[in-house]
Amino acid sequence: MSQRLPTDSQAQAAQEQAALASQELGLVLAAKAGDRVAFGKLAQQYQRQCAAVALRLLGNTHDAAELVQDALVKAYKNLDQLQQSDRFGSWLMRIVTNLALSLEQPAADSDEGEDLRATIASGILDAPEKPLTSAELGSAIQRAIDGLPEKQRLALVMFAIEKMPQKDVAEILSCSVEAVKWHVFMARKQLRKSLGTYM
Amino acid sequence: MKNDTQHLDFLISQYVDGCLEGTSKKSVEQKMLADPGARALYVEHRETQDLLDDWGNRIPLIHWDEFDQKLAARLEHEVVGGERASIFRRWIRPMAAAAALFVAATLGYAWHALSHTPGETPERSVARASTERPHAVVEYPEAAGGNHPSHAGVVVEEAGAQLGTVAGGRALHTTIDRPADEEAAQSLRENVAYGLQNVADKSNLANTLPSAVAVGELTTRPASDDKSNDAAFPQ
Repeated sequence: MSQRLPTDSQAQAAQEQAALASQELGLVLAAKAGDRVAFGKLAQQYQRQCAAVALRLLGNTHDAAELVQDALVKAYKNLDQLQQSDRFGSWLMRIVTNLALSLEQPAADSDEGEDLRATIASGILDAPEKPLTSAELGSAIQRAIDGLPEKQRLALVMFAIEKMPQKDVAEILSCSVEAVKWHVFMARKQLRKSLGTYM
Repeated sequence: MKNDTQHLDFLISQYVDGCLEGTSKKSVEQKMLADPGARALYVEHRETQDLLDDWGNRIPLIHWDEFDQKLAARLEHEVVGGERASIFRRWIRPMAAAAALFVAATLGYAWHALSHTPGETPERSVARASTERPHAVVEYPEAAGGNHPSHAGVVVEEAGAQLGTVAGGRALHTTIDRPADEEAAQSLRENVAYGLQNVADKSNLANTLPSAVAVGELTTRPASDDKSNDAAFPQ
């Protein structure tokens, strides 16, 4: 009996998930047929998560909102290229992360970006002389995340911070679930090294 | 040894993420219970993840109503605008052709009006097709204004290639000569007819007659007097 409750609960959750997936598929197909209202509903469903990921990658809310707008417009324009209509969320998030990476590319290629990476990698961020404010700590975390290799950063942001399913993250990163776990593991180790003085 | 430690570290990382189940989970828990080093690894991962969770709780301060409105406007502007642009591209050429032909027809009529001698008796006649080459003959009774033998007409060209000739022989007829194909000839006919029928003030055409016009890829120019054309316009 004690085994049965979780099973029923899981079955119910699976049913609800299937219903949501079916509803979403309907919206995607309608949007593909040019229904902007359906696309608007899809956008509302995903825009908060997209904005959160964009914020972690770009570091400021305004840019994140603009990026999500661009991503949604781009998604709508290219809906015909979405081959698996039931994978809209992952596809949209891939657009978001690609746009975010392309936006920050110049900085990453610059000497300043290299210097920051080297600083973070060597774990020599200045130790605080007084307790950090929340903003200062946030800024330090952001810089540490910015200094991570691309896949580690994306895996960390989407899985460890935004709690997206590993399967979805794997799909977005075009890698295996095991690789996602490894990227998260390595990213967290590197963050620990970079932020050790703050913890 | 190092590999074993790293493997344990990796397992503990997954444990912190809640990714382990069954025997793997129990195995890691037993290891942490027995091994202070394993517990230290757990604490490292746990602290780092707690920091990330705390930091990740910051919700982007975005005004979603404004966001939705802006998105709707952008979709309307960019996507619908794109569709409009596409429709525009689809129809611009035929519309440009129609406009050019209207101008050509106007030119033809105006040229005729210029060469008309007042006082002559208007007469109605219809040009007959020449047997030497294809002609489309169009009658415009409402364009009657004179019977003076006219100029050679207006050549309509598209991208440098002659599409046809709009020639006004007499006030009452216009002959479309040398059409590129039957479809073009029909389009030329319809638009010349439209043009002539919609010239409100025919008397002013002479004052506005340019030597050549261009609309889109269509251009018109006065045709030089050509005896073979005149053959289509019996005097």
